[in-house]
Amino acid sequence: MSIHSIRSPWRYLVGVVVRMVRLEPGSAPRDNYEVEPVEEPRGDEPAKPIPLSHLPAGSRATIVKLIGSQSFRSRLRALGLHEGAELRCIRRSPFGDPVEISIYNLHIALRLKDASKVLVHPL
Amino acid sequence: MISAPLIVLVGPPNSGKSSLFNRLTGARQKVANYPGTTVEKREGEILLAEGVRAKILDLPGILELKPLSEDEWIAVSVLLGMHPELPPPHLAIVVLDATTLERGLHFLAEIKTLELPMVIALTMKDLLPQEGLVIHTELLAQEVGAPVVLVSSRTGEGIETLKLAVVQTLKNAPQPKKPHPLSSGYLRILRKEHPQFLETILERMPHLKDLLSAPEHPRTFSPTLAVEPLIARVIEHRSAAKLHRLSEQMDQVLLHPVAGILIFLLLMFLIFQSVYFFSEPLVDLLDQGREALASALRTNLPPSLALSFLSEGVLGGVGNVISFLPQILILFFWISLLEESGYLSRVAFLLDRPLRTAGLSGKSVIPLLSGFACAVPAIMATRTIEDYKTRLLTILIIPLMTCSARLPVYTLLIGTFIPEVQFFHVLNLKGLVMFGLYALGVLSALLWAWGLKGVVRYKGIPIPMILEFPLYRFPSLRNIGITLWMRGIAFLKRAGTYIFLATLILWLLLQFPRHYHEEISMASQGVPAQEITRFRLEHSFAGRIGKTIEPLIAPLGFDWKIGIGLFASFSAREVMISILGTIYSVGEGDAASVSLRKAMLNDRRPDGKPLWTLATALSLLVFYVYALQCVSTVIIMYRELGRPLFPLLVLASTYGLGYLMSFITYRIALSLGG
Repeated sequence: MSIHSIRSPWRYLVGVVVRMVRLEPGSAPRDNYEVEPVEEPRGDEPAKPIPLSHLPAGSRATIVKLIGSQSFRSRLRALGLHEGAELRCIRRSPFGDPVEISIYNLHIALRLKDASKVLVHPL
Repeated sequence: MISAPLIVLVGPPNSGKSSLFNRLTGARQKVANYPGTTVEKREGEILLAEGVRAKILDLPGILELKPLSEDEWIAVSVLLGMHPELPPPHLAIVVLDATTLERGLHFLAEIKTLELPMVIALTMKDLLPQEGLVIHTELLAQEVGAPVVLVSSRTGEGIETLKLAVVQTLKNAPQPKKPHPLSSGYLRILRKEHPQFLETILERMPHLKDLLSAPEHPRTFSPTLAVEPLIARVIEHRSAAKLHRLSEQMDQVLLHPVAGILIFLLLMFLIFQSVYFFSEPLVDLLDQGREALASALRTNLPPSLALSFLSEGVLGGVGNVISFLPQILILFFWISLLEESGYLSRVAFLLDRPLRTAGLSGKSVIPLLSGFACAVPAIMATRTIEDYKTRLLTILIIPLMTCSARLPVYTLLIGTFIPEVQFFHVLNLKGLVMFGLYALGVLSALLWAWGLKGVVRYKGIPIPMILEFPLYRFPSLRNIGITLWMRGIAFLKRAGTYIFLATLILWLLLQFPRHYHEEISMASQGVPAQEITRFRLEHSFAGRIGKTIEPLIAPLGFDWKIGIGLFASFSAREVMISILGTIYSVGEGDAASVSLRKAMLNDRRPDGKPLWTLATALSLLVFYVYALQCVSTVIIMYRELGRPLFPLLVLASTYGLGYLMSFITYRIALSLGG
C-alpha cells in the first residue's frame, strides 16, 4: 500500500459528494484522474517509471517522459518540467487534489489529472 | 527617428514584469484593451535619457512562444510584429526572475530565436543574497549577445543601468519592419519541431506564409542556446536559500490540512470586519461633504429646476455612488496585499478541488473575492483563467457575490426593520442577518455554477491548470498604491458616465410631466409641501411605471413606490436609496438618515396597514441578493464574452431567481406572523 492511497478526511468527504454527483443521469463525464495502480518494483528489475500523481509526498524523482498532446507537453516543459529534471513532491492539497511539487527553485501545483501524464523515476 | 520607439516588456507570469513596468513608468500609464479583444493592454511612456522618449508596452505574461489562451496569442503576435493594430517593436526587454533563472534561461533561448534586439532584465536583485545566489551576468550577456542587467523594482536598484542599456541597444537596432523578417527563424524552428502548431499560427496570421517561403535571411541561423551547460555556468549557489526555506516553513502552516483552512477563514472574516470598521468614518465624511455642498447650493441658488437637478439628481445620485468608494478601495487593498504577498496562489491551491466540483477552479478565487467589492473589476480579473468554460462559469456567478453597491440597501433595511436582539452578548441579530445575506449569495452562486456546469458545453483545447507559488514576500506598497489608484479612477469614471446618465434619465422621469395648475391650486389651498411632492411623483412618468408594475410585484409585498425603486435600480442597485429618499421627500436619501427610516415606518398601504413590515423588508433584501441590477456589469459581461446572449440570460435568470426567492421569503415571513 502506497502513501497516496491513504485518503485525508477532506478527500473522503469530497469523494462522497462527487459520487453523489455522479449518480446524476446525463451529467457530463468528469475528470478521470485515477490511474491504474502500478506494480511495486521487484528487487532485481530496474524500477519502472510511475506517474507523478503516484509519487508520495516528500519523495524525490527524475522526469522520464511526458505524455499527452504536443501543446500540453510543450506547456509543461515551459514550466520547467523537462525530461531529466529532478523534482520533489511536496504535498497534496487538503482536499486531496492539486499536488505541489518543487522543481529547480520553483514551487508549482498540478492537478492529478495532469500530473498523471508526467512519468517519473523515483530516487 | 520621428515617432518614439516601441519597447515591449516580455516575460513569464510572476517574473516581476508588472512591478518593473510600474517602476519604469510610474503613474504615467494607460490601461485599455487590445482592439477587438478583452485582453488588457498596459501602455506607458518612459524617459530613457535626456530627450530620448519611448513608448513601452507591458505584454501579457507568456511561458513559451506557443500560445494557448487569448492573451498569449496577443503577446506572441506583438512580438512577431504581426499584430494588425500595433507597430512592430523596436526592442524587447526580457524580464526574468533572477531567483528562478533555470527556467528563465529556457524561456530566453526561445525568445532569442526571434532575433529581436533585446535587453535582459533580471528582477528580484534584492533577494539574491538571501537566496545565496550569484548570477554571472557578464558571462550570460556574452553567450546571449545582449546586455544583461540585474534590477530590483522594489528598491529601484539597477533601473538607471537598465535604461542606459536600452538606449545603447536602440542606437544600434535596425528600424523594425512589419512583419519582422527575422522572426522567420522562429517559424522555421516551429516547422521542424511543432508542425501542428505552425499550422494554427498560419491560420491566424496567413501573411506569415510569405516569410517561410522567402529566401533565408543570413542571420536567421544563429546557433540556438545550449541551455543546460549555460545554467551550470551562469547560476552559482553559494549558500543556503533562506527565503526559500522560510516560504516552505510558512507553507507547512498555511497549507496544513486543518490549520490552513482555519487561517484562511479567519483572514476572510478579519478582512470583511475591517471593511466595515474602516470605511464607516470615511463614508460619513464623504456624506457630510455632500450634504454641505447640497445645502450650499440651496442657499446660493434660487429654487428652480436646475437646482433640483443639481442637488437631487447629481449630488443625490452620483454622490451616493461615490460614497462607497472607500469600501471598494479597502477591499481591493486587502486583495492586492494578499496577492502581492504570494498568499492568494496558495488559496487557489487550497480551494481548487472543492471549487472544481462546482465547475470552477482555484484561479476563480481572486475574481470571486473581488466580486465582494465590485463585479466589474472582478469580471475583468477572470482573464487569468485560461480555460474558457471555467472562465465563463466564473463570470456568470460573479453577480451573486455581495458587492458593495448592495450594502447601502442592506444597511437601511436591516437597520430599520430587524429588531435589536443580542445572543450570548456577542452575536447581534442585525449582524447575523447581514452575514446570512452574504452566505446566501455565495451558496446560491456555487449551486448555480454547479447546475450550469452540466448545461454549458464547450469543446476547446484542454489547458492544464497550473498554479505557481511565488516566494512569500513583504508586499510592495508602491504596487498596491498604483493598483488602488487605477481602480479608483476607473470607478469614478464609471460613476461620472453610466451612473450619471442613468441618474439624469431617472430624474427626468421623476419630474415630468408636470401638472402646474393642480400643484398651484393645491399650494393655494394650504396643502403641505410634502403632499404636493407626493402628488407630483404619483403622476410622473416614473410613478406611472411604478403603478403599472405594481400588480406584478404585489405578491412579493411591494407597492408602486418600491416598484419605482426597483425599476430605477436596474441601472445601479444603490439608486434605490436615493429613490426612496426622493419619494419620502426627506431631502437627501441616505442609509443612515433617521428621518428616512421614520418616514418608511410611518408609511401605510391604502387599507391602513403599515407598508414596511418585517416580511416586506426581508423580501426586498432577498430580491437584492439575486437580481443583477447593474448596467455596468451587463456591459462588461457583454464586452468580455463577446455575445449579448450571456448577459441577457444572466439578467433573466437572476431576476427570475430573485422573484422566486423573494416570494418564498415573503410568504414564509407572513405565515410566521412577520
